[in-house]
This record gives sequence, C-alpha cells and structure tokens, in this order.
Amino acid sequence: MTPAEGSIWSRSTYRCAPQKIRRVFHAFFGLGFGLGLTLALSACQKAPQQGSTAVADGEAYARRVASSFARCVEQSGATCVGNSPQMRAFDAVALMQWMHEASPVALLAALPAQVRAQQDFEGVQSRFARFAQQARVDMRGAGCTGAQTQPFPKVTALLARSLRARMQQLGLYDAQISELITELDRQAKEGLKGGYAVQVECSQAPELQFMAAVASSQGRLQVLGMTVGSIDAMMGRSPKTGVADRPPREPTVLAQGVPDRVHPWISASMEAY
Amino acid sequence: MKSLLISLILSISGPAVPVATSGGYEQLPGFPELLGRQIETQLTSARLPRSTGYPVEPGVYVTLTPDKMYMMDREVLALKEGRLQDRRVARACTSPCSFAFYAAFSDLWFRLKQSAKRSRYDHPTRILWAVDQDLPASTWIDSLYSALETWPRATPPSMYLLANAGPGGVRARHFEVMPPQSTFSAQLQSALELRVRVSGQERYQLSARASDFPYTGSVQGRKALQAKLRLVKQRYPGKEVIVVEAQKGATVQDLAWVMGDSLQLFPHVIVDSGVSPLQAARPGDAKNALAAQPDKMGKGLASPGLVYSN
Repeated sequence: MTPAEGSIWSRSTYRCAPQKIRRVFHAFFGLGFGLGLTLALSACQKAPQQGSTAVADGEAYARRVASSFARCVEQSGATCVGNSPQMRAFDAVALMQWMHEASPVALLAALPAQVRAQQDFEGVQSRFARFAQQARVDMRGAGCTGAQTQPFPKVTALLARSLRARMQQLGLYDAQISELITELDRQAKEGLKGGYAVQVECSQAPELQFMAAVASSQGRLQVLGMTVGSIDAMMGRSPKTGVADRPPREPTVLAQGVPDRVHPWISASMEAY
Repeated sequence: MKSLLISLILSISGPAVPVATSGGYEQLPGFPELLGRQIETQLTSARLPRSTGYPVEPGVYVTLTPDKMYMMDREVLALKEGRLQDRRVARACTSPCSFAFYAAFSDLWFRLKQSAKRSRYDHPTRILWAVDQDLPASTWIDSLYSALETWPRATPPSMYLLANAGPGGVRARHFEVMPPQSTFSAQLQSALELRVRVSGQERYQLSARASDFPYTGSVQGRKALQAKLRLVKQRYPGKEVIVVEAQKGATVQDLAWVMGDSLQLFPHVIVDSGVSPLQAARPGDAKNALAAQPDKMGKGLASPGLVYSN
C-alpha cells in the first residue's frame, strides 16, 4: 500500500490484517482465551510510522522517487528501467501525449503503428530503455530533479479532453478515435491508480523537460515511464517555451565553404544562379 | 480489453505511409483533405494568393491571416492588420526577425523534435505557407527568416507557398529565401542574379548582376513582365534562378504573381526582403546605414538586407 493511497490501517501504530482478526474472534470463543491472545498478537504487528502526514506527503515522496530515477538515468541509462507490467499504462499516456503534440502528417502516417506498438509490452519496455539510454547523455550534469507534481487521474482526464478537441479541430475525430482515446484513458487510470505525473526539470538545461510517471508497482513506488514534455502542455495549459534571446551570430558569408551551393538556405547550384 | 484495442487498430485505416506518385510528388492519403479543411477554417481558400504551382505534398503548414498566425492546428500569435504588435527583435536572429515569430518557431521545432522521438514522421522536411493574399510581404518574409533561423537541422526545409489555382484547386510553389545581411564571395562572379523588385500595383523593377544584362529597368504590368522574362530566358537559357524582392507596399499576392509567372522559365525562386519592417522601424541604426549605401555593382539600389562586397 502506498502512502498516497492512504488507509485507516496505516494511520494506527499497529496494522491488523482483517482476515486474521476474524480468526482471532473464532479462536476466543472456540479454543479458549490463551490461544486467542496468542493469535491476536500475531495478527497485529507493529506498522511503520506513516499516518496522515505520509498521505499528504505522497507528492513529495513521488518527487523524491523521480529525482532518484533521474540521477540513476544520468549515471546508468537503460539499466534503471524495471519490468513492471504497468509500463503499458504509462505508454497509454505517452501515446495520448504524442497524439496531442504530433504533426498531422505524423498522425496520418504513424497512428496505427503507434497503437499497435502500445500493445506490445516488450516493445514498450525496450522503448523506455532506449529513451533512458538517450536521456543519459542529455541529463548528464544537467541537475535534473522532480518538480511540479500532479495526480494521474487529473492529468489523463485533461489530456484526453484536450486530445479530443484537437482531433475535432483536425477533422480526424470519429467513432474509432473516440473509442481509442477512451480506452487509452481507461488503461492509464487503471494502471497508474494513485500515481503521480512528476515534471523533471533540469537546472542547468532549462530547455530539457521530462515527465516521469511514479506509481505503486510490485509493492513500492517506482518510475514506470518517462517521456519528454511538459505536464502543463499535456493538461492543455501553455508550457514554458524556454526560448532565450541569445546574442546575434556573425553575418553569413554566401558561398563560403559550400563548394557547389550558393548558401545552405539555397539549393540552386552556382551555374543556375 | 486487448481485443477491443486490436479491433480499434484494425478499424483505423491501415498505415498511410507517404508514397511518391508517378509524377514524382509525395502523397499521403488523407492529407489533402485535412489541409483543405484547415485552410477553410483558418483562412478560406479564396483568400490564398491566386497563382499556379505543383501538387501539394505533405508537410508542416503555417497559416498567416491578417489577424492570426497558426502553426498547423494551433493558433500561436495575434496580428493586427497583417502586422505584429510586438516589435521586439530577436537578438539571436541575424536576419533580423521579430522575437514573436522567432519564439513561435523555436517552440514549434522543439515540440516536433520531441514528438519525433516517438515517430520519425515528425521530422519535418517541408513547410507549406498558407498566407492571406493581402498580407504585407514584409510580414511574411519576417516569419520566413524566423522559420529558417530557428530551423534545427543542417539541411534547410523545402518551402512552398500555397496558391489558389482556381479550378486546379490549391497548388504549391516551391521557393527559397535569400539570407539577409550576407556577403557574396568571389565564387559568384559569373552569377546572373536575375532580380525582380516588386512594388505592388503591378510595378516591377528588373535588374541583374551580370554586366551585359540589357533588360534593366522598370516594367509596368504582369504581361509586360512575362514578356521580359521570356526574353531573359532566351538570352540566358542556363540560368534557372530568379530573386523576387519585396519592396515597400508589396503584398503576398504581388510576390505570388511573379512566382507563378516564372514557374516554367525560372524554377528556382528566391524570396528576398527589400525593406525589412524591423529595419524600417529603427531608422538611423547600423543596419539602415548599410541599406542606404548604393549598390557597388551600379545596378540601382542595393537590397537593404544584403551587402555586396566583391
């Protein structure tokens, strides 16, 4: 159980398993007091100190997990990627994000292949591993840490809504696309239940923005996927562009260093000119 | 659940990979319809410049109306009467170009680069410009400079001006852009550099860099210009480049006429900025001082954005 999920059991010092309590009840009346007491003590064990503060700190915990993962990627790349079956749920979010950002040409040319790829767990895992291996180069020395955090149901709901609006705008929205978005949204909500989307920002490279999906898997919070992009953009808000007004470059010298071309911007050969 | 997604995959029309048609033009099923819908929504095809061109190939499209700029389906900037209200200049841009255009294109290329990590089709190679026919040419060229200055790849994009060809529908005219503030090296001594300065109201100034060019002078009317261009082609059959230079007051329609009329004679059109709106806004600065210098080749006034030094 994650701190984010919260539970009445996690708020007490001792955690008692419900089925064991039933067994204790029967033991008291069926076997006698001594055995009942023994079973009662074994049913309730000392729980780690969590409580309401831990529930409230779920976001902070998710940020720490994301920061830790970013450091791992920076050092070890693809080896940081686990093998949780919930990675496909994250890939559903990543696919929706891609559909939200991709050019219409890419949507027309690649959507069926992308949907097919999302079905293949090994493909999803190896894509995440490739991503981590590439991100290792970008993240090295960039000081990337977890920053803004949003609960997943909110992110996926807004992303799905924004995606529907975009598909309508492009004239691509029909029953199949509608079903696809609904299905991806459902997969994401189920697989990333209680999880967080964490924006990973890099202090030394502000143009780099990653979104890490942190959710409970195999009994602990872990990063189930990571993609480039901003949570604000996914939620239909204006993201930070990171465009800096740099000093001007030196003016170009036409034809210098380009043997057969007038200028890199111009494809005509010198004879044609 | 799995079966539902598989049925969805099958129901979404099969992989629509761009393919080259027999004419050598790349086609992507669904793209012409999508582009047509977007043009009608954002601008209407009746507002595209009237001209000719070749079939439209798939690419990233940018729409400029008198009051808005769209990048594909997203509205990114507000304009007023075809001009940007934000007059800041992007310092990183040698052209120079407006910071608003510069930031918008930087953001677009960055977003596509990110999407391309998932699909290679997001590496754009073409930019299609759907521009209102009455938009000041200077505004359009300002955006062209920004698009090229922020372009993230070594190979520049192929750029096309979309035109309303009447019964022919929407057609695309390929063009390139003259980098401003550039200096020709001595390698271009043999260049003809045919240049048409477009002033609007069908007023043109024909010139060339070659010393034996006999057609230098003003031309009034499209028909007269077409006749002159045919004569130039007869005299210089190996030359395929024409520089179309926008003068003050020229609209995109004025440039589009010349670009269309030269389609068969001079397939390489290079668009050049005669009067940069930013330079005009900063009288007395260093760039304007350069612009005021006479052309050292003695062929009329030099392009304000271009310095000849041979």
